[in-house]
Amino acid sequence: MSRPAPASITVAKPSDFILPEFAVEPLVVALENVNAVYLYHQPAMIQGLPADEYSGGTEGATYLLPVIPSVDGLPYTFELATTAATTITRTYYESSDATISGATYSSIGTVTGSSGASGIVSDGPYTIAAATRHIKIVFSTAATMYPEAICIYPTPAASVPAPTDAGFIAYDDGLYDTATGAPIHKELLDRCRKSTLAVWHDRKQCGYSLFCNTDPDGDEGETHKISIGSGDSITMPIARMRLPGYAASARMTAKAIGITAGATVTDGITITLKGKDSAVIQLDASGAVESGSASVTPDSDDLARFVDVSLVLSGESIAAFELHSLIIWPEAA
Amino acid sequence: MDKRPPTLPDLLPQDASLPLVQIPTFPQPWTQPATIDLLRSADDWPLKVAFAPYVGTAMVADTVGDRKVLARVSGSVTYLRADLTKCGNNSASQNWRNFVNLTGDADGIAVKLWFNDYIFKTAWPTSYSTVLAGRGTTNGAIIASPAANQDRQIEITAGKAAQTEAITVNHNHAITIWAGNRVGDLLTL
Repeated sequence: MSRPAPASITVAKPSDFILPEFAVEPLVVALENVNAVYLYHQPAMIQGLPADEYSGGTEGATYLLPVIPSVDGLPYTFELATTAATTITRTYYESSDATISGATYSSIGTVTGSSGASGIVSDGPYTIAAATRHIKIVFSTAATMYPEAICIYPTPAASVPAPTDAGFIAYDDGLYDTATGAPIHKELLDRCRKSTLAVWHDRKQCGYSLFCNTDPDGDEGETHKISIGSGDSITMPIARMRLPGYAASARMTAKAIGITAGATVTDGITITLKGKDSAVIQLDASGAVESGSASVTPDSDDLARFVDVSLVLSGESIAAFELHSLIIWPEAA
Repeated sequence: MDKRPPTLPDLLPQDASLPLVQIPTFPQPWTQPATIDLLRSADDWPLKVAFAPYVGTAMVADTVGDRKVLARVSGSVTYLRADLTKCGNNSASQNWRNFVNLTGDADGIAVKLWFNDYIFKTAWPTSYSTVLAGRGTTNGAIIASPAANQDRQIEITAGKAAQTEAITVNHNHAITIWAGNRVGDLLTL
């Protein structure tokens, strides 16, 4: 028995459904596509641009990013766009700790190599444990580099035999198409819906990203890019999240890492979501991964559905803080 | 004629625990036999998920010079559009309209988005007490033979598989790359 998957999704012709009763096809095509969805549904869990502007380049950068990895502990590919033809050491860590100070990090992968002619490299896949609360990415080079973009997405190597925590159950050909005259059990039909939806819900898609180098070394005038004074209130650029097909209300889960040298800045991070209706999420700058959620109905139609994201950072006259990262993912309400 | 156009389902409210074949209720105490419709519906679900366009991430950053943007794009997507936000100082008195260039189009001709707002110089909000924000979205037009810098959808090479698209942009503070169009028939992929 095996769990076959095509090299890519198979698109069957409508005429393929005119078939004798109890024939193996076209159900086997659909079931193998279930396995293909597990392998090839690869949206970005993290997708963004370091906020820093390095006109002079930098010798290194560190990013701390909150994540919602797959509950199945999947391998993820880490893509970096940077300066071409530069030898860079890229090291990736995971941590199950929410508090940044004193957090324990486990290296999940490291590579030293050239960024090539395009300046775009793919590292991994490296497995991110389901319990991971945030990841740390460290780049260093003996030359200078400009980290331009980072993209992290799941890339499972093979489907798995047992039902997963996410609810995915693979198709195994021993269940059906190797048995002559096997009946079509309703569970095989259900599996096409349930397993593929389970995969879709499990692999969170990044809706908003803002992050910067957490460890600027001061060279070339480098400073923390998202630094807020105790008495300051700063409105960040409005950005538009596109949600193709999302007609109903969606719950937006926001996670932020804000570091303060003083007391926790309560509600220092205010996120306003505006679609057909609007909602507000307020998070603390506390030195830990803070999380909150609110539901909003996207505006517009079809592919163009959107939610606008406004962000105000305020020291609230409590303390200055540095926002290392803010990520938002849409989820089922 | 056999065609298989892509669908655009709202997957978010779909409960993954619900079966495709509904549980029989009295006075129908057994499951209906599998029909062509059921098979077709079963076949639809993996395709719905596999070809559902990905969320367009709103990415905020201080992009002064040229910068590569990486965007995951699902299979079946043929064209991309971009939302942009750009912050700067008021330049109404100088009558200066700003713009963003995007490259990465399959035809190699850059897309230029002009903003309606009069802003001058780029300014990261944490560096200035007051800045204006201009916003825009690239045009929805699909143009087979575009003129230089024409505002339009960005053509990419569609496939069955998801891919990472690299789009180069300049001078902006937030960008979203999103699916603007898809193939009309999945069988052509």
